[in-house]
Amino acid sequence: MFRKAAENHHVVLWSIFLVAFLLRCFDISGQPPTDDEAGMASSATNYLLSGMFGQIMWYHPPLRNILVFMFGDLFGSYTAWGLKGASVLSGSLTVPIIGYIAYSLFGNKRIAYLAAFFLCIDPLHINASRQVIQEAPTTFFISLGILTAVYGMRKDSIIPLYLSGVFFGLASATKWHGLFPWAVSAAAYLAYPYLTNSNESRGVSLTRILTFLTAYVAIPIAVYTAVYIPWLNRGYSFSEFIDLQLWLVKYQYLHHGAAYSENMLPKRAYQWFIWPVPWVDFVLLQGKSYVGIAMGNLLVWGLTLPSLYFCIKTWLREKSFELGYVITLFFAVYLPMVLTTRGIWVLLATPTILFAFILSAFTLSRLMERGSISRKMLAVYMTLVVALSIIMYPMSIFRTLEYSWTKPLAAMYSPH
Amino acid sequence: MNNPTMKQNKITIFMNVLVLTALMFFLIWVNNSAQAKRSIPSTGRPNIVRLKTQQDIYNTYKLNDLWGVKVLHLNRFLNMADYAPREEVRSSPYPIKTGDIRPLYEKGLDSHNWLYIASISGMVRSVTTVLPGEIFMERSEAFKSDSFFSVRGKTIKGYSYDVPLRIVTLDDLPAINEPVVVNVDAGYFSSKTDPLMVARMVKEKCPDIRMIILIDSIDEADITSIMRGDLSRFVSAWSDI
Repeated sequence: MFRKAAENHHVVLWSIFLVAFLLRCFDISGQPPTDDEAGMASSATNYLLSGMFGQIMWYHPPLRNILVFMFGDLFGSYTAWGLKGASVLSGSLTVPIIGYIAYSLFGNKRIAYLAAFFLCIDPLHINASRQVIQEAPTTFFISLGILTAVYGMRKDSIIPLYLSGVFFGLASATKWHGLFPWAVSAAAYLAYPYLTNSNESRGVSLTRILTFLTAYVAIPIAVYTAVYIPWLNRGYSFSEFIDLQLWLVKYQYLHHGAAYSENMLPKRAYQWFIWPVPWVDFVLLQGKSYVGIAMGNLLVWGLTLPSLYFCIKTWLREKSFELGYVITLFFAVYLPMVLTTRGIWVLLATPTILFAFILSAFTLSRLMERGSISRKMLAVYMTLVVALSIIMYPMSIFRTLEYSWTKPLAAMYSPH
Repeated sequence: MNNPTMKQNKITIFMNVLVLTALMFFLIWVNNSAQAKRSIPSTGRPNIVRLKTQQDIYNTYKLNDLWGVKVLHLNRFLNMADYAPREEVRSSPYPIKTGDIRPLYEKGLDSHNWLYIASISGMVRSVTTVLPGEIFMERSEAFKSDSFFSVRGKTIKGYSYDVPLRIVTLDDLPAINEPVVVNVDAGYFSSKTDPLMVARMVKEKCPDIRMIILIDSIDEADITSIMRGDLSRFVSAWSDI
């Protein structure tokens, strides 16, 4: 019976979801809100009340405020669940979705399971999913946008394509990271007849252009704008809204983080997949100190660049749309982070690791198919990966100071 | 991929046109309904109010229930000093208590940040500040080194938080062809500016003034009785034009 269940990818992916959910909500009430999170609760209330963005990361699009407000309302107040519910849920749900993306692209369960499992136990994603920050919901909406885009392209069906536009609009309305996969997916849809051996005539038809404009231009823009309605209701016109967006581009480009993150933490994206890169949060509440350290599992993150090389080589040989799509998504999300001159901290890696993990899972699966690595080798590797994630888990949940093996790291990143 | 039949194609085109039209109307509705939310004093002869301090303007805006107004601000200061109550971003045990944050901002109100607080709380949606020529020259040097602002000729453009801010001299004041609330501080007349000329220029550039607020700034030690006299002459000139 167990073997039968394991053959059903829905059962496996939703089982991985359960693990992901448990890891992301375990003792969530015991993780105190950071100063920023307290500010975000206030931002959520006041955004819906008067259109005020609030003090914390006000320069990002305001969907976070709406999500936090909705969950606060759902749970009656900003309890741990009311405050962080949106992140916990969206972060957990991204895990099976990445599996579904991999499965729908490659039709291979092993790739789907590996990608989902890598994300499930990733300490950085766990940390991001337990905080009221934009990262978990943005990545969630991006993953939904891609899944529906793949389905819509394959079936040439407008409803999933419209949904894809909605999700990319929501992703971008949470954080602008959504713009890159949105652009890639829009271009992929437009060029799909060229990129695949489809039966459709090779020219881009009027219907396709119209669907592209609706699904990937009008719908995301409408969704993005709708999220700003509380702010627009301060009397702003649509042209003033566009001016604000242009100002925010400049603001984001020139943005400087707090002195601690600018001076003490690594802030270059090229480092992410080469050596361990941390993001550190501190809370002092009722006389007790808490330290959260977000850091990827290096055994998984370290696979990214070799896997990318392997995947590019495979793509050059096979020219498959699916692999090309994931590689392009990876570059589209990662390169802007690498090339920008402003500080880019590692929590911003969450959308990038979606594609990094799919590429690594693809590589491992292909190498197994070729016999280059055995089942036993994979089992040993996965055991080490799980062990490292277990060791790192206290850091992800703000308990760095409670364990002897994580305490030295807190001292290393202490601002004092 | 399935080769869509002619019928499917027609349905797809119809659906796309329908959705595109609906979204266009949605955006028009958003634009119009947002602008309809503005609360500006009604048309007619502008109400002229004279106040003692800059800080009092905030309460006057509040009493007049202003929301989303465009402000023309004549002073030697911007009155846009940043202010953020520390209590808004301080960790506390669950559940986190929140509420309307504006009263907390109002607690920190002073004559130099009131316009920032009025902006952040939604009463003001855009500010054009007119500085006396010599003060503009001093300030523009500082703004030139601030990447967040652009300085072109005698116009400085940028944002204060999410509120568009334009800083000019009277000669470069652009026409404001929409309802506007005007603040004139006695301190603006520090450079021996002719009040009659100021009144004429403001009236010419802003055809739809809904409210004029005059401020004696009695809390500013360097405002002289001559400057306050100029402010009175501005009022007389305004009535005579």
